[in-house]
Amino acid sequence: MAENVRDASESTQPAGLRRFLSVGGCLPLAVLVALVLLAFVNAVTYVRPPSWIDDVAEWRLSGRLLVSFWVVAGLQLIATWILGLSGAIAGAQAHNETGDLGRRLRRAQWRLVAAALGVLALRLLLLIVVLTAVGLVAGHVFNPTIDGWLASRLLQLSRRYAWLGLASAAVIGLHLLIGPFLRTRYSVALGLWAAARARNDEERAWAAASARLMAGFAGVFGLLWGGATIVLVWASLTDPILDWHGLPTPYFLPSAPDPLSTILGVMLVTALISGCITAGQIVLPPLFRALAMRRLRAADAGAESDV
Amino acid sequence: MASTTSKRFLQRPAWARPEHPVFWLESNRNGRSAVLSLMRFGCLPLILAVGGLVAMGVGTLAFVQEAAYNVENAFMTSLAATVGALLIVQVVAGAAANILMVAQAAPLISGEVELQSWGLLRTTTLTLREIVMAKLWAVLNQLRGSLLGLMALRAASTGTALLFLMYLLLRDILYYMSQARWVETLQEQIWTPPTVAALVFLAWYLVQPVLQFVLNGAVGMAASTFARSRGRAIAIALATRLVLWVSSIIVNVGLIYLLGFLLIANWSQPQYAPIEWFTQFSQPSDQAISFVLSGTAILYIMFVALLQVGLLAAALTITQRRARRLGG
Repeated sequence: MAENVRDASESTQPAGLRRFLSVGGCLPLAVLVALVLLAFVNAVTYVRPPSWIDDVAEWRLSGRLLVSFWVVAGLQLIATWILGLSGAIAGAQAHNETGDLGRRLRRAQWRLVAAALGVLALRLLLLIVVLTAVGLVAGHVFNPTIDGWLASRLLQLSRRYAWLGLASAAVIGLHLLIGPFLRTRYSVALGLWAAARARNDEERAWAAASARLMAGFAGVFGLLWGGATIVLVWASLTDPILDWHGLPTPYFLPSAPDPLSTILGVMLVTALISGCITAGQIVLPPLFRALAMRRLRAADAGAESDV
Repeated sequence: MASTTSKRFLQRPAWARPEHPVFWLESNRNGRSAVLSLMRFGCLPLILAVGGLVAMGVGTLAFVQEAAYNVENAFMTSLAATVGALLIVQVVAGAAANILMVAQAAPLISGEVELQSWGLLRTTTLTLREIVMAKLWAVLNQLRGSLLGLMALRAASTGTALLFLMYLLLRDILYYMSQARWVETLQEQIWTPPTVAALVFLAWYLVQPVLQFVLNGAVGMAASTFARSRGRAIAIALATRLVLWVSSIIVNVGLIYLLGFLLIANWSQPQYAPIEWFTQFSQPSDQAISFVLSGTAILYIMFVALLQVGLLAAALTITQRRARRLGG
């Protein structure tokens, strides 16, 4: 019944230009805020070098690159978090609208396109900072000030295990780039489902926000616990308890020296986690939508039987 | 017959059902107030937001400081830092939820008395017990979001702490034990009593949010019967809760210190005991120390739990007795 009602809300939407501005404002705002913060941070940090620094230019450049990385990484994390919450509330609003459910969801997602593009812009900025740092390090600009050890191991890795490294980087990169849009889609669907489960109109937006935050909460601890458990199991296998004449010690890759296997392991695990998150963001929205539809149909059937 | 009895046992009591008149009245009393909506529905998202952001921030910062050197240590540090941060968030969120619950429960009866509707309510066919429990249940139901948030924090901190403990045991304490010492420890069963004590503590720790939640509601309602206006009832309720909180801290810290002083500083090390009477005894075995200390801890936790349940029952009894005498 809910899908077949003509959408009456289309005639009440605001005018084109104002709508475009309200929808498109997030992208330039995100970039502007990031650039202003970066400019500020680069202006106030690493100004006066300590007395033991020989090469001031390298110290300044490496320090500011590191600080810039953290600033942009933090900004994109906050923006991603806000995007998810906004998506869930938009899903609750879609529940309250009338018309075809698919159209309502698409409209809710479309309203957040600019916000998603803003998050994407921040991630691209982050990628630029990282690639700049990697390029400078690979070009031997730095001493060990900015992880020359890590950079040289990454180069070793790229020579010996090129395909594994590239595949991991591709999965991580894909998740970074399409993640904001998938996150919007997932959050809107989750918000719709949570709103459908709420008891009354007053609760719907709160229920949607709670569901999204609960999913994020579970995700944070899933990552922490999952990562910690994997490392604990690996450490127990590769470096067992002293004097315990138990299982033989397997190496991750037979010919790999330890630091390289650690870096490769971290990359592969990160790629695995990124892949799982991406898969979840693709698979779960249709499930949430189906559950919400079921709930809406049951509510409609209940209303009809009351009449 | 048996299935009817078991069904009746599993059904909600009459005062806890949505169609109960007092429950319905309390749930819909304040209409669409924005502030009340925020209190009722905003607690859960706020707690989850703060908890999630704090955990993510603290965990990430702690992780990256060591990740380049040792991933294992990085996770240990991250877990420990996250547990610490979550405990702080729990204390703050718990205090706020406690205050909210007490303040919401305090006007339940005093408000009726102030509006002169308590006498009318008492003339209905509903028993006093049903009225009191339905009112309490309504306010517990309205603030269930804060309870869910606190339970989520509790579960997260427990899981993280257990994982940290696994790291500590497997990668630190047990890591350096010889095989002979392993066998000795397992045969003497030194670890069994502390494990049981830890499980009892864990059960008590996990149940605390629910117990505190209901206790605060009961304390608020009891205070409600001591005042004839809502404002006064809230003041009495908050003061009572503060007194209970401060006195529980003093009593618990005092008891723990006393027990620790007697058992750890004196009984388990008689040759160095500050109290001379203990020096006449011989050094107890590791097994005896393990059993006695763990047993004392278990008894103490059970005592505290019983005290909390007793306070809850006392508050509800006081509420009913005083409410019976209230007029107007």
